[in-house]
Order: sequence, then structure tokens, then C-alpha cells
Amino acid sequence: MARVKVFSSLREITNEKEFVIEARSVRELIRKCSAIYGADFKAAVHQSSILVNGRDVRHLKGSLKLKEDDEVCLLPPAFGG
Amino acid sequence: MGKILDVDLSTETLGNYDINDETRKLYVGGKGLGARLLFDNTERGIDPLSPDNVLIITTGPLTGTNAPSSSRFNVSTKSPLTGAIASSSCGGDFGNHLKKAGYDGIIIRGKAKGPVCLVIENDSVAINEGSELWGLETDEVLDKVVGEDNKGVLTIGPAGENLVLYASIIAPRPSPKRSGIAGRCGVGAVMGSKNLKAIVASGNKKVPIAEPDKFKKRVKGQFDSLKDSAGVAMYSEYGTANLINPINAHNALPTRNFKLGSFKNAEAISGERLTEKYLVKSSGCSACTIKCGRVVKYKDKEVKGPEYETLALFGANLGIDEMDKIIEWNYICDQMGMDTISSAQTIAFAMELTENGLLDTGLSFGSSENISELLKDIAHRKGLGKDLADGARALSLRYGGEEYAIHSKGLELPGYNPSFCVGQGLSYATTNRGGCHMGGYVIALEAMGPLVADPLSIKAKPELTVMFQNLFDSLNCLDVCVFTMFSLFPNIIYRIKPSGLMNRAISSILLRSGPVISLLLKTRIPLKITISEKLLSDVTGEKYSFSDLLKVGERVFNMERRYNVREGIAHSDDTLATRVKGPLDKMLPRYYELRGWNEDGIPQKDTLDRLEIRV
Repeated sequence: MARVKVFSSLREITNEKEFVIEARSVRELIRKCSAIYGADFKAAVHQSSILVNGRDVRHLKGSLKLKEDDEVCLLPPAFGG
Repeated sequence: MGKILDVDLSTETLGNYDINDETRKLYVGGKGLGARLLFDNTERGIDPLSPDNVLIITTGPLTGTNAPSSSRFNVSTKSPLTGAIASSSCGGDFGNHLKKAGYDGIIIRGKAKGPVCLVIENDSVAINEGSELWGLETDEVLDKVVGEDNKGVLTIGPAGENLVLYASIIAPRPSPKRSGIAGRCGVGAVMGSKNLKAIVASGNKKVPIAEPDKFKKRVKGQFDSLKDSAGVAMYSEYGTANLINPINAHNALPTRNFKLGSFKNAEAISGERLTEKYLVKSSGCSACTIKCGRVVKYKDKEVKGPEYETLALFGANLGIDEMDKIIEWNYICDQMGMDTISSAQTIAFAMELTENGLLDTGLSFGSSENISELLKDIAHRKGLGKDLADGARALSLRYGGEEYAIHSKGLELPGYNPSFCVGQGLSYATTNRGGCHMGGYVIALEAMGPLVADPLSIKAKPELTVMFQNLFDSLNCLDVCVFTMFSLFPNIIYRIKPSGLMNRAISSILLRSGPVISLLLKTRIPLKITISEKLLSDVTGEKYSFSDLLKVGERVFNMERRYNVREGIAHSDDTLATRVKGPLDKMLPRYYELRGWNEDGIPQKDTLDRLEIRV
């Protein structure tokens, strides 16, 4: 089970900050979340950064498998500051 | 072109300062013109708080027009906090009023015999008695000098009067609450050292535009593009505080004096929480649709809400998760006229000194007790506040702890922990005013947005840092808000699936892009690519290409560097505290090479010649 944290515009769609989901890879996790939360979620998550345990998946090597208790953060575009 | 008002407070003389067309074209305005004027109008080695220093206020060519987010202006001087050049960009609407009075800027010299207020109304300028304003907080000054009238005000609070080394200058505005703040480097202390409490500007002149029809059409186009941009959409909803949760998720949120990069209770100080529980409405500067400002509830008032930096440094960095308290401290700092970043970072350092038994302050991480009173004591230099009023570097020289005094060149670092974003660390270490995020925002490519370069890798970071610094300095010459830059990312980039192969490939390519960026920095592309050089060309009637604009940024960066070198600041000052230094030393030689500086960090003659910098 991965722990998923969602922020800003994604949170407005899920109506929750955090949830757990059974998924063996990032791809499967996004697919399952999109099935649960619908088209708006799917559109918004495609604009979002995905972090696994604090590291952006774009910097991770390999097949983006998830382990038990991994924390996945879904971050819509953010600029600052 | 407007005039530059030349004010000598010692002799009470007023005049206009002549600038030739070539200087205007080379330095454009804002930060660039400020740097040139500071170099030309001060001697080497002056005391920043003496009458020998000058306070320079400069608008940009777009200020006072209706170009998006263009109401800003710049303050340059020699910083009493760092001894280096100070530049501080300010929003609000004072810039517009000054421009409409017919002035592009003001040079303030000397020191008045007692408190004064400078009043500018079109061509009429007066140095008025200001004793009745001295001692007032910043909103009180606004009430007293203009009330609800449509005038621009700049003022210092008690912190500037008492020469707190990180005192700010505030441009208060009654409604909506979107005061501008020239926050950093102690520019408010320089104003206080001159006994100048406030400046009031108003006028009804039209800002000249060389190509009005083209300009009008382009401005409409930019407003439309900002409205649709995914790159700025989050600002009106969550303000700059939208960054708390993402930066925390990236482990780059300064926590407990930068010891850590994530804060367990970040949610409590996040933009989401601010919007949900405290937001009354969003607000913006003049001619701005981004509306990053927050109006929040504080006791029985509606006040300006805290920005990302303030939440990060008063919150996570002190180990505090009480939003009410941070709103209160933000309000106190604005009323006292004091920089929230340096205030919070100095307090964090004092907490750690206490933790390590080096200074007994009664402060501790996680405790909000007595901080409101301490902030007022700092502003009035009372008790412990007297010590803390000199900033973290001065404290470390007095009591030790230099390895965890988190500053660059004496200016406390903003809200990104460079241990976890090494390119931003290089930018902090090399930016001319010191620990600053507004002079180069590499973090945008390390932990935000649609394109990312691994924040822990040093690859291509010197090249990206130079590019960002040049770009930001060019925008700061135009005095447009740097947030408009985020709309330059076309929306199509956001549609590339983040976990997909394409996006991962782009991220990987970014880390190998050093040679290409290096080539781009050297190549002259005679095209207009971004809206900025197009608007600049329309307003001035001069032809600026994208490369010309970047070259202006490079010139200004080197002009400021040359000022610092004159003041004895160079390679040994391009550093960070051991705690957050990371791989900085591995990146500096390449960075110097790209800049055309020698190994001591000094701009070479051919670099200055190429950039037409005459010193």
C-alpha cells in the first residue's frame, strides 16, 4: 500500500489530503487514482510532478516500482516565492 | 524620458541629475540604472550609514504604463548589513505615482538635520519637516500623510529610524491591502540614517510610449496569455504560499535553522491552510492579474498576509506551526519596517546559539513565546533585540557558530535549503547582494514546474545559474514582476505526462544542456522571443532583441560585481555556511569561467569591454 499525498488543485478534486492505495508501480497508481477520482483528476495529474519518497520520478532510474509504505506526493505546478 | 530628481538633504538643495542617452540604453532602468548611479556617486569604502552613502530609487521603462505587473521600482544603495551593493525590488503603486509626477528616479544624498518628509507633486518638490511622523509605524504614516488620497507613499518604520541593519522600506497602500516592500539588505536603515521618514509622490503626467498602437495590442495579448497560463494559475488561489507543501515534499524547506529540509507540520503553515482558514480575498499590484497577494484576518483587522518566504522562515525554520502567530509576526514586521526573512533567520540562529550554550536568549525551536515582543525590541534596539538587530553574521562573529550562521555575504538566506537544491545554492553564493532568490531562481528548474533538473546534481548548474541571473537582472531593469516569467512556459509543456518517458528524457537532457546553454549565452540571436523585449522596444523606440535583453542582464550583473570588487568583496565571499555549502566549490570555477572572471572572481578587462562597462 502506498501513501498518497495530494496538494492544491488536486486536493480540491479528491476532497482529501491523503489516502492509501494498492499499487505496484507509479503508472498503476496514477491509473487507479484516475479511475477513482475521474477525468478532472486525470487531467490535473498530467500537469503534476510526482515524487516518491521526496524524489521526483524524473530523476529516478528504473521502472518506478513502488514498495510497501512508499510515500507518493502529487504536486500540481507551483511557483514562488 | 522622465527626469532623475537629485536631492541633497544636508544642503537642502534640489536639482535634476543628467543621464546621457547611452547610459539609459545600456542600463535601461530599475536595478541596472541603480547600480550604475551608485558606482558613479559614491566613493570606495564609505560607511553605509553615513551621509556619504546615497539612496537611489529607480523605476523601469514600463513603470506607470498599463503593461502587466509593471508598477514596480528598485532601491539601490550600499548595504549596512553586508557592505556590498544593495538592491531591493518593490511592488505596490509608488512607482506609478513617481513616474506620473515626471520622474524616472530619485538620488538622495547627505543627511537632514532632523526628521523630514520629501513631497513630490508633478514639478513641485519640497523637503518638509517630518518630526510629527518620526516614531510612527508604517500604516500610521500612511494615515497621517495621505489618508485615502491617491498618492504614492514610501516610508520607514521604527526599525529604519533605529538603524536595524535589515530594516526595510514600505510602500503602504490603504485598499486593497497590497503594500509593496523593499525588504532586503537594510535599505530602510540607510533611509533612517538620512533622517528621511517618508516620500510622497503624485502627478498627472502621461508616461511617454514611442509606439503606442503596437504597445496597446501587445499589452492586451500579454494579459490574455497570463489569464490562460498554467504557470501563474495557482497564485490567485494560494498566493506564493502555494510553495510550502511542494518545497517540503522536495525536502528543501528550511527547518530548524536549515538543519533539515522537511517540516512535519508543514501543512499547518501551507498555502492551502492560509486559503481555507484565513483568506479574505486575493489582491494584486496595479495592472496585475496574477494577484499573488493575500488579505487575511488578524484580530479585528484585515491585513496583508504572509508570503512563502515568511511562512517558511518564521514557520518551519523556527519549528513553529502556528499560522496565527506567523500572521501576527508578519504584521509586526510590516509595521516596524523590518525584513521578515532576515528577522526570522536571525532569530533561528539565536535559537541554535542558545541550544548550543553559546548565548542565553530564552528562545527555543518550536516555541512561539515572546517572539512578538522580541520583534518590537529588535525594531527599537532594546534588550536582546539590540544584539539581534545586526543580523546573523554579526551574531556569529560575536558568539560563534559561524558554520551554521545561514547567510551569503551577510544577507540571510531565503526559504530554499541549498543542501537539497545545489544550483540554488550556487546562485545564493554568487548573487551580488548576497543570500537572495530574486537575483536568480534556479530552484524553478530544480523543484517546480514542468521541467526539472535533478536538484542534487551539479551538472549544468553553473550554466543554468548564469542564465537565470542574467534573465532576472534584465527583468529587474524593466521593473516588471518576475512572476510574469513563469507564463513563458507554454501550456503544452504541462501536458507532457510527468511519469512518462518523454518527460524523463527531457529532465535527463537538461542535465546535459550545459554546452548548449553556454553557446546560447555567447550567441547573438537578433530575434524578439519574449514579450519583455517587445514591450521594451515599443516603449523606448529602441530595438531590443532577446539577446540584447539578456546582455543588459549580464551587464548589470557585472556592474554590480564591479561595485562589490571595489568594496573588497570577491571570491572569498562567494560562499555559504558549512552546513549548507554542499558541492559549491566544485561549481564555482566553471561559473567564473562562464562569467569571464579570473580565479579571484574579478571581472576581466575584456569582459568589461565586451559589456561596455566603463569604470
